[in-house]
Amino acid sequence: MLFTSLQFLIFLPAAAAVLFALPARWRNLYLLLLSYGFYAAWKPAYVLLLVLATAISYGSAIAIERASSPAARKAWVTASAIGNLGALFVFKYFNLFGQSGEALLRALGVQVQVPELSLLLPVGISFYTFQSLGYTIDVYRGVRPAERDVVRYALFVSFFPQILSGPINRSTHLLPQFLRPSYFDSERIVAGMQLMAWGFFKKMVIADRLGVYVDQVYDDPTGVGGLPIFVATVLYAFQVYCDFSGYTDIAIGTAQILGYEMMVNFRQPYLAASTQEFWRRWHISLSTWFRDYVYISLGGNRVSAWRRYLNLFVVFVLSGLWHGASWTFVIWGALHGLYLVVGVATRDAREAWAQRNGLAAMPRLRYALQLLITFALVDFAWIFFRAATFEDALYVITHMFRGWDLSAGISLGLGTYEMTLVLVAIAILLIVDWLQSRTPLRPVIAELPTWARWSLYYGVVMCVLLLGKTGGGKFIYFQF
Amino acid sequence: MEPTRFRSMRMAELRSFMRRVLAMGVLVVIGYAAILVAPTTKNSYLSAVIDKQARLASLGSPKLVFVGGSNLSFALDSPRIERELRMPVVNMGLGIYAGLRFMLYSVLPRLGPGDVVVISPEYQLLRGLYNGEEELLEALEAFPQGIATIGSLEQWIGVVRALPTYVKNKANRMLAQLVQNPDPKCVYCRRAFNAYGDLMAHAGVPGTDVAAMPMFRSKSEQGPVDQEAITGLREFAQKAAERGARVAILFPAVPDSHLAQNEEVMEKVHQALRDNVPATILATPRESLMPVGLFWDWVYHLKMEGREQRTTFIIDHLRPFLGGV
Repeated sequence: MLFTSLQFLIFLPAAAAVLFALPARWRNLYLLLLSYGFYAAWKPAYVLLLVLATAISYGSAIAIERASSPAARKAWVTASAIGNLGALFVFKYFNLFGQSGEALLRALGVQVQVPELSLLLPVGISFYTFQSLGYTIDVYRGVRPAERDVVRYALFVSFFPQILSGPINRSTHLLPQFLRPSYFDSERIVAGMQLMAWGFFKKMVIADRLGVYVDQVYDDPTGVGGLPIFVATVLYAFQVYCDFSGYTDIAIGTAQILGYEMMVNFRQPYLAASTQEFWRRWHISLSTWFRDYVYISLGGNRVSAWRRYLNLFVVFVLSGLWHGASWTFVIWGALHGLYLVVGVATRDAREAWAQRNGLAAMPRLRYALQLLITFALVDFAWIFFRAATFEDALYVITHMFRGWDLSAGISLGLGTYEMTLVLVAIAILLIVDWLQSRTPLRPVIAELPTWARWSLYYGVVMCVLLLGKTGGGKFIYFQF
Repeated sequence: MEPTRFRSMRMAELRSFMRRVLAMGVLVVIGYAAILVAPTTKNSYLSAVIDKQARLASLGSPKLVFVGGSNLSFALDSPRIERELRMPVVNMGLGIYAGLRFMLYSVLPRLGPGDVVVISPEYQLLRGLYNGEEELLEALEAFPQGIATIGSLEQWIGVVRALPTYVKNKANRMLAQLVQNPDPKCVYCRRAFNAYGDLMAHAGVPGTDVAAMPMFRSKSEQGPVDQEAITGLREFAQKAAERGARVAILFPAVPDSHLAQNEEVMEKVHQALRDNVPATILATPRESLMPVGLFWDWVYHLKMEGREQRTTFIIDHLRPFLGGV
């Protein structure tokens, strides 16, 4: 059931109505059944994997807590990691590593045949695997006690607003929320609906419309000229942002309606002045997960500069691999790792250069330049994220500035009207992001006179209903 | 706070919230209604129904009326047919998604003694598109009298279900007119037709390769032969006969490349019409095949060269039916 489907718009109010009508002691069980049903709607068999991931992390956390020695605790947390990541490896990475290993050995003159698994990637597996793994590590580190209530824990892993594509919530943040019953609170529900409406706008009005153009170019970049490739590459940056942050807004809004608060996942990423800052604003629940559970485990900032750079790079390569079982994602992650390492290593030199050239005295100009450079770097990396193959990515890079034919037109799949519409929508998005970066908009909206507030709500709702693309594609991050 | 008081506060809050949700719902419905009734420039492809109906109304009897979907728009050289068969011609062919019922029954009131109706139904019109889809509403927007053609509760339900999509498309059409200059070479526009109702604007415009295109595009076009459509056609033929008009059926021209994949369906439709509709079938589906290279952008849409060949074919098959004119 897609968040943008009519079924979901019927499902959610019905689910919320029953939730608030139920006695408090039944609510977690009800939400758990609902979440499993929601997940089973994709492919019932994969519920078993979800149960397995839940059982592994639930059992190993209790075992960690009961273990008498540090070695035993370590053994249990390792077992949990192997169990959880093992399933992820089989379903997501087996073929990538199998085929790559086979090719490597063949190049070395060794003939081997690695079988190819034809398994459909279970939706959300990367997200719930990391969420449950994070919980086990929390218990191992003594950050929180092991959860004994199996219903509550299973709900933490499978909670339907977040199961498909996050946010990857921390156990310390979400689990305690299942201890207290949630009540009907119209202000909270309205806030959730506002967020959902904005998410629908981003997904249906912008992302799905941009997808028409971007797909035309990236499905066969050799069939179009340099200008459409360039335009598609720029537009993809907005497509992926609107698609994923749109999904996240709907997920967070849904949880809010039900009475639960999810982690923030985006904070106006394209207003970042550096790639380092970009990662503090983009997919925050994943980047902080890697920071908390991988980077810090590797020594964090308490190691030598070179080791720190290596750790940063490794974390981003892993982050790339987390996204998809393809070397293009690894390159995407490696590029970001490289950006960060170079950014950290040259920070002082760049600052000195800005001082010397008077740029430091012009903060607005400096910020504008930083913003543009950051966007260009991030967008360049998106080429590897979007391209179907490494060869396609190379073709895009080598051809996007060649043979620009302005007379040929650039509206592939989108007419003048659709292109105008989507550009206006992107402008609105950037203005809202910019305003949000200065001050939270919700309190400002709440202070507006009723007619203005209602006009705003009405405008967004009608935009989504009339201008949103229906029957659009799945969310991009569902593939991860 | 005591539980009863807490509960009653929550109930009051719930009622207030529901009132606000309802109010937003009412505003959305009002917005939709406003778009529904908003006047438009009526330049769209389906708005050509206005001109076609005007020509139909202007002709006395006897006349030759071609009824069907877009296959007819692309298939006829009506002035030549008129010349050679010595009968005034009107080409009512428009779009399949308006539905066969609308096509038939929007013509019926204009039939009189001596008229000849040639129905050229695309195969999907007899496999699930009898009542039409969202485009029916667009046709009704241009030709409101067509509402009288809605003949069943099921079709009304279909119309109501199609309303949101129709309103959405209409809003987008209206907005598009604000930012986009009218395309002088527009093929799918009202002005693409000549005075007889033949589509002419694609002359000289490069087409697309039709060979790999499916004949049936959506699920709703792929059902079994629709008994409601067969009954509707039979009743139409009977009502036309009561008005003194004669009815013939002419299968649309389709590319020969598509025969193997679709012959079974085409034959089933042929059989159903032959066995149940009191009308002369001018040619079999097989006889209506044409080389794929003569098609322009879809399996029913002929290039100008194809149109000329098809017109010859139609004249040759109509002449004996009309009594060797």
